Amino acid sequence: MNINFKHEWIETNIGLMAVLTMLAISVGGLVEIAPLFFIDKTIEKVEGVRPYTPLEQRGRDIFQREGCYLCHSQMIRPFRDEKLRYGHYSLAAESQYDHPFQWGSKRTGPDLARVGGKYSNEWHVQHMVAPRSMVPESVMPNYPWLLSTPLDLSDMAARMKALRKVGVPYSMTQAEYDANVTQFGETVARQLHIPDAQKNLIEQANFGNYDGDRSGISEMDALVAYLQVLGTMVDFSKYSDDAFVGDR
Amino acid sequence: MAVTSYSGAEQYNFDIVKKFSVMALVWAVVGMFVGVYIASELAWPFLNFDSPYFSFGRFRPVHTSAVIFGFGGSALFATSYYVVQRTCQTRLISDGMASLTFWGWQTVIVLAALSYVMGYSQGREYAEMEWPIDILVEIVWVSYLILFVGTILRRKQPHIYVANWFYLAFILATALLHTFNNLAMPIDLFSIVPKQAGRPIYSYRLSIVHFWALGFMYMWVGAHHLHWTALPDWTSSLAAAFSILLLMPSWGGMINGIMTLSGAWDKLRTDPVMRFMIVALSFYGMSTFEGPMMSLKEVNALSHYTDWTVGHVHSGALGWVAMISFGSLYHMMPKLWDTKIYSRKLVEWHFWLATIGIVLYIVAMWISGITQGLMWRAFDEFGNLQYSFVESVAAMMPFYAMRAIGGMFFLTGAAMMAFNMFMTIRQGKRESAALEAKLAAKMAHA
Repeated sequence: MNINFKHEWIETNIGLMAVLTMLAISVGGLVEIAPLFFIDKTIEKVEGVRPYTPLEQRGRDIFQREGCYLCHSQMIRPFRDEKLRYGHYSLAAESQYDHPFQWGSKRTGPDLARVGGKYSNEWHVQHMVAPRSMVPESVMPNYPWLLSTPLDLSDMAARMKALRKVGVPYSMTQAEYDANVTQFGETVARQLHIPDAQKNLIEQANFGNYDGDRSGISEMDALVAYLQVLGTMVDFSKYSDDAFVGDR
Repeated sequence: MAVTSYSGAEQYNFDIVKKFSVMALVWAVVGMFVGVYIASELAWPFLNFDSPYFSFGRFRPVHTSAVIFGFGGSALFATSYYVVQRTCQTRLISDGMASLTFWGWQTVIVLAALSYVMGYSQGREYAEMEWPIDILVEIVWVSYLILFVGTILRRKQPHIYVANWFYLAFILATALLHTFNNLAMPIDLFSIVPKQAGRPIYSYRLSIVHFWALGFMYMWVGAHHLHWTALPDWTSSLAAAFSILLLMPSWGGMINGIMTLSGAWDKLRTDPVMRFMIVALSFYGMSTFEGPMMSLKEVNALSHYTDWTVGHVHSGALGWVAMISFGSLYHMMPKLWDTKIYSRKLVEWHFWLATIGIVLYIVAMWISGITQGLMWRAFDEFGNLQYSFVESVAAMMPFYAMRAIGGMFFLTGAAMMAFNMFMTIRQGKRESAALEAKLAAKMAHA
């Protein structure tokens, strides 16, 4: 082999340079993207994780709209202090129906991955309207408009259809509904049926009365419903302490 | 160096460079103002004013997109169009396309900022809004690539100038990622630093190694933002390893830059623009050391989720990207309008305000970040958590205030620069008008 390589070839040929640059960049890019596909295969086998109900999903939309993820992570790391403070570390399986993930990267406020059930609905409502009335040292903004803004229900079905396109098993047909009954049980499957979305949402909001005001459905209803379900889907008492170590 | 006259010259399309330069400064002031505002909200929460439109969560993306896309993006367009034309000694292949990239890009930033405030978060909502912006970005970026490569094809000499390799890689990588991520490539190192120093680049061979190593490794490191999460462990280990490797080309580039400046150290005393560049290079070296260190899993366990990350980002964004962009604009803008900087005194003020501002910012975030990390993991003698979360929030207050003040320093400097450049442009226009009047008078007499 006596190829006398000269870097000059590349320096004088923009096409060659573009191709080689593309190659150099792509190798790492591919390896970086690979995990995103790989993650489907390393999802832990765990019971209880289900897609959000229409009301919870609307709450999640509001969580996103207000940029909550900029100050609150939803990803508990496998450390002793985090276990004591927040609970069991987050599993990949727990965010499999989240599009996009709300893992976050900053904790100006505490992690919310398992905030569900830790505080009462009344606490959440009061804390959202005036955080410093509950936690004097807090730097969280007030969100009074969530209580006064009626929840927009009109595009519920469209939102669920969009999520269905990216793989969340909301059902359109009888066959899909039946499959959900098998996978999640009948109570959950009914909540995931797109044609009944609005009816289900109104029912859950009226029954749960999350914002403490029965006169209508506010954005607060949806947000609190979402917060209260976070991290509660998996019952960790059913699993041994090291049940998920192999998946890491 | 003799001042070369470009005004009226048809050889280059400098109109587009001027437009992008001006907008870079406008977005710098706007974006940094919003940055100071949201920093103040964290220190003094009443500033959220119970309004959806000013609340931290909606306002922060306005800050990030105004400074990254508005300021950084416009500065990149401006310097790349300037450098590619000058080094290839040819005009951009299409004025129409150049205009398209300008108006398209500015529209993107305005639409994005408005949509965040209205509550459509960064392409995350399923609302239609996201698609028009996305497509517009795509159109602008493809036009940019065609324009850039097309202009290089028309170059007057066989070799492609080093700075243009980096611009090309940046354009391609961005196209690949569809996002800016944290790519901050040391482009101006190879054009404007040597120019301002009046010296050739220190090592050509080093730039070759720097280029390929950086291009190859940059994309591997993404997962270092996801240590200890539900991603498989091996991906984050791999990312950490490449982050460490990345230190080598990064520092290679820095050494190349500093060695280029060496021998021109006297200019540090006489040339305020040089000061911006040397400080920028220093911060480049510092933050490319800090980054790999933070990508180590053990360090990351402490630093992640804390203000340390915010400080790190800003030592790169303010210390390196903003400082080198300021330096480049100070170098370019007087030449574009064929005049001298209106006030060198103001440039010096800007330099010191910016430098002090960065130091205040970073030190505040180091202290608060490490304090947070340590408080969160502290145990008392009985093995219980020593602090509640909110105790760590309360401990942050002085540092959030200090950070906001650092930001104010930096913003004040940027505003001074905007004023200085506004006056420079006015001065340039007045001078050329006077020159033309003189010529016209002469012609009339002849």
